[in-house]
Amino acid sequence: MFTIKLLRFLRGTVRFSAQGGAMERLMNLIAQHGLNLWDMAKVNGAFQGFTLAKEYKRIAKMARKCGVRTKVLERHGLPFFLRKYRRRLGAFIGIAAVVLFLFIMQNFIWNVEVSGNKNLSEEYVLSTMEKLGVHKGAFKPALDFKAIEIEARSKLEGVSWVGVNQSGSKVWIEIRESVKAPDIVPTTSPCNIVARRTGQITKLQIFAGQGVVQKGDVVEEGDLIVSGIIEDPNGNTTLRHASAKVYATTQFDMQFKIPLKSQKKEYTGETKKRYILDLFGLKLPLFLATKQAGTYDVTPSYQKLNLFGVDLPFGLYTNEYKFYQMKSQEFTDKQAAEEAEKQRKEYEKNELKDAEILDQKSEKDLKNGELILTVHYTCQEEIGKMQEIYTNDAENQKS
Amino acid sequence: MRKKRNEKGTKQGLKSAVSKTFDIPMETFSNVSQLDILSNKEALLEGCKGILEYDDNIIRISGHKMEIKFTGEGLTLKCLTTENIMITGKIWSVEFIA
Repeated sequence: MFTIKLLRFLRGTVRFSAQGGAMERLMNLIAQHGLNLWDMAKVNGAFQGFTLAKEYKRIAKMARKCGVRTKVLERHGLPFFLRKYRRRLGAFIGIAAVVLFLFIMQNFIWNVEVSGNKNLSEEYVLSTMEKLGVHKGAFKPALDFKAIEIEARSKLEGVSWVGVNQSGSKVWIEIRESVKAPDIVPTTSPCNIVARRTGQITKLQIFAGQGVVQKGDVVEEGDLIVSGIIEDPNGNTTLRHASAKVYATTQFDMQFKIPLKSQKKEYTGETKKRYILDLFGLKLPLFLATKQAGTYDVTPSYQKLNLFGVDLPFGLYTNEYKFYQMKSQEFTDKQAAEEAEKQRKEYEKNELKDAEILDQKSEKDLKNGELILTVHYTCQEEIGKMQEIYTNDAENQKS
Repeated sequence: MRKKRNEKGTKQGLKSAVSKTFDIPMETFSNVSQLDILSNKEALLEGCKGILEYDDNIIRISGHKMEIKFTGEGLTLKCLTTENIMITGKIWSVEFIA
């Protein structure tokens, strides 16, 4: 019944009244010609019935032959609707355009999201995916997501698994980062302990291996302290993983150079912002493309527009220009010394944090317009360093 | 057409005899009218030749070899095609006039 109603609606129906004349003859004619007629009933002395819009004309012609007067009462259906609004062509074009627009647009990728990345930057993942064809504005039917997924796994470094999912015009890339193996000598492989720095050994704690030097000995950088090769009284050698804590008094020099004349950036405080509208990956600058005068640093940022928490394929790039001027700076001897001192403190804080500084002597010298601060350090520090013993066995195991 | 006599001696058509012998429904033969009535609300007549009289309380239809007369109240022609007619409304009586 629904199909019949739908077909009638699409073809358009007419409700008409018929009066007088030979009704029976008219109906027989209608039936004979195979015309559609339904719901014929007598209402207030006149017959009323329905027929299809196209067939009404023929019925009216037959009615005249039979002496029946017909009159259209109501018009229903799509053809009449279209006729009514035929002057509003723009509205139909608009509707059609929207539908067409949606049909076309859903074939493109408008949003690429990355999740699961901890150490990898989103930019890195996105740029790699872009090389594989997954980017904003990409034509979806041309992409084979299964193949891209497999390729991405080999292209992206530091990734153990990549999933490329798509839903509508959104693509999200799920990443499992591979856990990087720590760079240590495994406890099972044989190794020696060698000196990291030249110094005199003050304390030696050997946990495994055979000591080669003793407390009080002076070792140079790279010298063997504890050997992983152990010889037993019978002359057989075994390889061990040597382990020891070696403390030594070390002496070394460090130089800090401060040029008296230098160039320094000085921000003028003037800033300017330029916006670029991002429309489906199309970048539309919202300014006149003139070159900025002067020197400046540019800080780009990107703001994605979102609606109720859903990212839209529009965004705004902001380039912030910070103007500066190069100014030559001249230190007095005192200022340079202070600067050097600052650098020295920084060095001690970072590089010598595990060492105990026993003594330090500093010398200042002016040479070629530079202030050179030389510091002679005497420290107490751990100088043991693991060095793997490469054996044929180990190599075999590695390969 | 040769007519046979059945056991009771009444006249019987060849078609009816064939349909009885082979268990074929009568409506398969083209010149037989079939009438389905649903309570007193709806009547579907298959196999008709034309409308003889049409009003809201009387409809006469010419069927095969007979005339069928519906009387009732607010009779409506629900559907009209070359062969079939569907009548809805309050049907009081159906008459077969040979």
